[in-house]
Amino acid sequence: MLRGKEKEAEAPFAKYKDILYRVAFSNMKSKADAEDVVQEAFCRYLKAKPSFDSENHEKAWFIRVVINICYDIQKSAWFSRTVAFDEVPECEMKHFHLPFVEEDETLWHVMELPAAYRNPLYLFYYEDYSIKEISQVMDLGEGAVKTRLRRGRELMKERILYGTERKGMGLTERALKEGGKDADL
Amino acid sequence: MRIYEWNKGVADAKGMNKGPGKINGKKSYDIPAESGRVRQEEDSFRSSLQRSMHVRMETNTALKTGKEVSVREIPYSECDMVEINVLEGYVLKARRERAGEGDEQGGQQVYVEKKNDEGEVKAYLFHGSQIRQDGGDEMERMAYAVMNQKGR
Repeated sequence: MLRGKEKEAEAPFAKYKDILYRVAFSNMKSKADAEDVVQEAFCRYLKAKPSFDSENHEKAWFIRVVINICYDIQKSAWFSRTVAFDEVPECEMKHFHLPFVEEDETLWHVMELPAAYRNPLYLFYYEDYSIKEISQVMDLGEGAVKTRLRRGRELMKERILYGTERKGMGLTERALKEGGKDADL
Repeated sequence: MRIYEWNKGVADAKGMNKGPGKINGKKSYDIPAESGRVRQEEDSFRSSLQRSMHVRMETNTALKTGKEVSVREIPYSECDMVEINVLEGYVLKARRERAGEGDEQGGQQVYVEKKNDEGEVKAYLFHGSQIRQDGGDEMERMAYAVMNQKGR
């Protein structure tokens, strides 16, 4: 019985494990946590047995599930009691590799952004997703995705130029609110 | 002929003083003879317009030596070079390829695609022999970098 279920997940696992790991890592900033998230995503896939219209639909479903699992973990009491890193620890950086793009300092800055901005920016720049695809994955309007891309970029500039965002910008607060909405997906 | 008369003659010939709504308007031949700037201003305006148009034309050619083509949306895996500029809000993807059969020069060309965070995607094709190192545009710079990539 278990063998049959394993077989079912084999094909999508082979196709999406890498991108799902990268998306999970960009949220969790740790190899072990990212692997747990990917595993949980495939467990949910086996439980729900969803049907898909296309390969894109399937991929979008997996990414959305991974993002939601990350939100769930980050909201949990256990996670808030333990030390959560805003920055990607140096010892973890070696566990993250992009297949066709060189990792640079900007990538780590993207990962440090609040989730509401981090995911659209990461998918747009590093996974080559279009705005339309991101809007499908995150269940947002295209306008909202564009706004988040712009605000995320502004927030990153603030942090890089001034070390932190300037007072009165309120971008982080806004991001936390928007992140809260995402978590309810 | 005095300037006053000359101005009046020109204005009448152009029908400038006949139309409605001109009753209280300042007539061109009312302009004091010593100022005599009517034609000079026209000339200077025209020349400045020409100058600006010329400059604009030059800017355009400086920006693009390639030609705009339809977007192919090539994935990162098929690119020879990818440049991600998060702070400026754009991504450049470039691929070097053989020029089409109809191409007389029969050389190489570089396809460059640019997408920005406003959702715009543009694509240009640069012919290898025309790419300039100091091209004013980031797409041309990218094309130059791809053409001169080591190991190609």
